[in-house]
Amino acid sequence: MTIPGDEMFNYSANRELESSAKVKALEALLIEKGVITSSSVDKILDYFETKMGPFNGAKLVAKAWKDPEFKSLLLEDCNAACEKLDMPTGMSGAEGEIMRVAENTSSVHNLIICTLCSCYPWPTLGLPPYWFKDPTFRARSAREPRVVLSEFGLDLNPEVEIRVWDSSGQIRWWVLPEQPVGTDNMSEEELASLITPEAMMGVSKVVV
Amino acid sequence: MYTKYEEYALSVMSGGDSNPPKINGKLNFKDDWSQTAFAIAINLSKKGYFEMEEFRQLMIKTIRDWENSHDLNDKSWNYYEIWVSVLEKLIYEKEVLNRSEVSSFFKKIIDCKSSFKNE
Repeated sequence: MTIPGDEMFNYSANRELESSAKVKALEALLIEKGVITSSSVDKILDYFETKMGPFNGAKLVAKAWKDPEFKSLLLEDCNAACEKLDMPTGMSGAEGEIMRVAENTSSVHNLIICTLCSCYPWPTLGLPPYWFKDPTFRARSAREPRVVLSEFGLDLNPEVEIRVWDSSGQIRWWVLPEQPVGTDNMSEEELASLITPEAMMGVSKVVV
Repeated sequence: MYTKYEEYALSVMSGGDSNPPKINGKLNFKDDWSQTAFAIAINLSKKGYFEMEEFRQLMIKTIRDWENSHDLNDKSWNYYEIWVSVLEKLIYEKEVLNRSEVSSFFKKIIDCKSSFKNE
């Protein structure tokens, strides 16, 4: 295959090798010329790989399930709870920008939506899935959340109240899911491994 | 608002056709070179060599070209190959590097790898 814009190189036999060599050449020359540094490349990857992601949210949720005092803090002041777990700098948000957590219970189910991708709680949930930015998802979730949730495979009892939280530039909402029955003896790590970004958005439950 | 350029850049890319592959709230890279290519592009735009939106528009156009010249079920589709071609194009357009120096460095690596493979 010829990659568009790449006609000058006629090495079609091994695309993997070509791509890897091309990127190596670009990286080496950019570093040589002082345009970028290898540490700035690593730093960007590290940010997406280890600093920001749903593993942070999962850790917060698992701890809240195990520790009632921490749970109160998380619901009252999510940013302070993040700091308490020594999550990387930036987790507590910049001035005027906070994360808030809505708790799911047997009678209330919370769902988060937002108009802009920038309102997604990236530090705890990672990258927003493609449908989250879809205006249809947002509009329908506000209008008929029960139907949307059932399309996600989540059929809630009619008695369960659904609350929809629309994030803004100032407040990024996310959900503290209900702890599944029969998991009281699990460690925090085991519990964290059960928690998905979808559960923290309110489009699914945590299951064992 | 964004507190990190990385978040801003990725949110620009996350609209429509230019959306990078993701899995469970994380970027989905199959290999090291796609990771590096991703980070180089974010890095260069962070430093002002080009706008992320410019990168996105070119991604959308290049993806469209690919789709017009391939069967949509073509399994040879690789998002990061397109990414690399766009990155390269902008690097030349903005005169960050010139085509011939990249070309000769690239050939050196390929030759070195092929001779290594044949040994």
